Amino acid sequence: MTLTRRRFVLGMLGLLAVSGLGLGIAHWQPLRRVRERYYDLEVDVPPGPLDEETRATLLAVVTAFLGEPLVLAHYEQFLSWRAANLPGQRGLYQRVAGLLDGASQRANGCALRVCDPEARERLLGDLLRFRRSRPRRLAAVLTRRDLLLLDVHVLRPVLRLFARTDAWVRLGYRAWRGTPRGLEAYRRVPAVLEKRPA
Amino acid sequence: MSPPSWRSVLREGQRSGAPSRVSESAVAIVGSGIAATAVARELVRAGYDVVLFERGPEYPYPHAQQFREKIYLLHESPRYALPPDVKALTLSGDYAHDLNRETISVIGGSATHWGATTPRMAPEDFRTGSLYGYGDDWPIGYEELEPYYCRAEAMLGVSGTDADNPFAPPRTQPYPLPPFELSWSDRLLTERLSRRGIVLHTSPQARTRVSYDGRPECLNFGTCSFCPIGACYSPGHHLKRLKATARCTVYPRTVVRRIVADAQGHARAIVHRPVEGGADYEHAARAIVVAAGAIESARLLLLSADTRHPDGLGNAGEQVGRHFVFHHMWNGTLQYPEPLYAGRIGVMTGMSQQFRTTPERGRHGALRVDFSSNFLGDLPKPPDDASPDDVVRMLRPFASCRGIVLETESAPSPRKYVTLSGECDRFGDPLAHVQYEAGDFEHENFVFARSVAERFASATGAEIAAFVAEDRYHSAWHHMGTCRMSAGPADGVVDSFGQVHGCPGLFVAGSAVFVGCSGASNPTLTLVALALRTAEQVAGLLGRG
Repeated sequence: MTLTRRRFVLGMLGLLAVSGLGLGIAHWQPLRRVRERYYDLEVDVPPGPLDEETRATLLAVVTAFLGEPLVLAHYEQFLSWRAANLPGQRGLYQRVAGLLDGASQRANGCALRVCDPEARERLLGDLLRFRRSRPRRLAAVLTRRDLLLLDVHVLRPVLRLFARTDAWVRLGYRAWRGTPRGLEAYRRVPAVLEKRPA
Repeated sequence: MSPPSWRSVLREGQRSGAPSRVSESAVAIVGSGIAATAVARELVRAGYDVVLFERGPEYPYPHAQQFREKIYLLHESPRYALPPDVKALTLSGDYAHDLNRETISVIGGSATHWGATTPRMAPEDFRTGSLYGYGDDWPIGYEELEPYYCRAEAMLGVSGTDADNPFAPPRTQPYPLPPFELSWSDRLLTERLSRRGIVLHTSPQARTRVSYDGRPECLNFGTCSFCPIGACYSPGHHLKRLKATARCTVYPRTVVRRIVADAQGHARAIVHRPVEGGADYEHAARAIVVAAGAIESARLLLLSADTRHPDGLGNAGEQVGRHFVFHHMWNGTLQYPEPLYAGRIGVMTGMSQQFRTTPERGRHGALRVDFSSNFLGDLPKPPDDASPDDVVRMLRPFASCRGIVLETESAPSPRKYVTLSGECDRFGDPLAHVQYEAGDFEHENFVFARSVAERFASATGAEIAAFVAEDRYHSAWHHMGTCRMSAGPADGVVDSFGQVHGCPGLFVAGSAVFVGCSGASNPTLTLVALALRTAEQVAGLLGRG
């Protein structure tokens, strides 16, 4: 098929119009506000301590999401502090823990926090698949708001904490920035290089 | 280019309402940062009552709670922030960074978060005008300041050695603490550099290699500008002790609006108001020390204009706000083929002062080069859809790279100054306005710094050397000048002891009094040394009655 000049120009104009419209919608203030409001948390539950079941379920999610090795204690502190201090977090944690435990009960016959690690990972892998695909994320906007909130308010902050801590150990560092590492180790050949064959 | 006239900016209504005189002390200090703390400490020791006024909030010391919030909870606490209509400035020129974020308004000031690298200036840095033809000579020389450098090092607890640094200026006393040794990767790079005739040495640091003066030994948390245990010096260390003497009071969240001088020009009182608002209060003092940083110190002198000083205090020669300079810092990254796993993160263990004074000094200024791993503090945020494996992949290049920091001088020029802004704070007082524009001298510094950086890259075997663009220079958080020392009011604001020309009893302490840049050396040790000298002068004045 030959492309006439007229068709080409019309095609380009159409493309420009569609891109312009897309950009306009993406940056249109009222729409942005709607989008931001979508991720706002309800503050029906006041900040406070996490109950044991919610805490255990969240830590099961963190372990399955980040993999190992992992120092779970500081994620526990992180989430407990957020539940106790930031409005809306505790209510969200309770809701998503309930949701995940329910899903696990249906799929595996046990609450997420007591399932075996493989079953946990399988379930979360299915539920969180939307994180890595734009169409699935778009679909989740309509059907799975709690999961999106879990992503925005739990998984992303947890990943930021991971990037400052355990990720460095996986990279080969002895310890991460923020742990008391003493004044001897930094002067020696890093352990990860010592292990390498000459 | 001259600073615009700001007189019209001062509102008539600003002077209305006589504040009630409610308090007095021997000394009033505006600010609570490292210069204010140095002055307060000396004067309390000499037996005088001192009151410090700080617009920022309380900031607990040691900074363990803040460390936990920032590092482990990823939380910027609003408790330590000031509203933008209290802490703000306006900016023109070519400076591309947010200058307002470069000062920290809390009890203890900006030295609550600092790199704590504390080299001295070199003797020639005090005489750049006569030796190299740029800037002006200081009215005080290295020899005169040297004993105060020793005292400043003792106050801050500086760890260091000159044994590996052939370019260190002379000293009469050893460092109070032993040095932080080079890291494994620094030593590796040092060997490579030395084969090309470049010297990399340890750097003096105001953090404790061994426990000192009630501060514990550094445990290498790696968040070195933000220490949870007090190994890195913070003014909180001394302020806590000073408050315990009952001779020192610190008022947080208190804005000093102006200084009151009597008909003879003597500074007699300050007028202050709580951040939250309410009435003005007057605090009378026999000596007043302004130690609020280079920008805010100049602003306060300008805000203190009265009928006798229509252009502001100390501004008879129209010098307040002029001679404002930054260090010009360019960061780079050197990427190596092999992993280095830089072990001591967040501090510059390796430094080179070899390029401070080269035969070409004059065409360009002094340069200091540091190896750092400080970039780890500014890690990119993982993308929203990232997985943990993506994060590890994203970090992998950091294991085989080193940061390189190029810190150069800049020269005063009519295109760099501080004046009053057309915008006002919540009390109706004009904010500070900063005009800053790099010129030819700074361009030459950049060219020189880049050429030296290329030598470092090539000598150490870096595969990739990436540097920020020339116009993205950073001030290194070092703001200097605006109330500079001089022999008389025609070419400066204060004398070499920090006393404001024509205003007995009024002093300025801090980097505001610098004549120009502190060479390529971080300014803090020098400003503390000068503040200790100022404190002696204040004590002498008070002693004479």
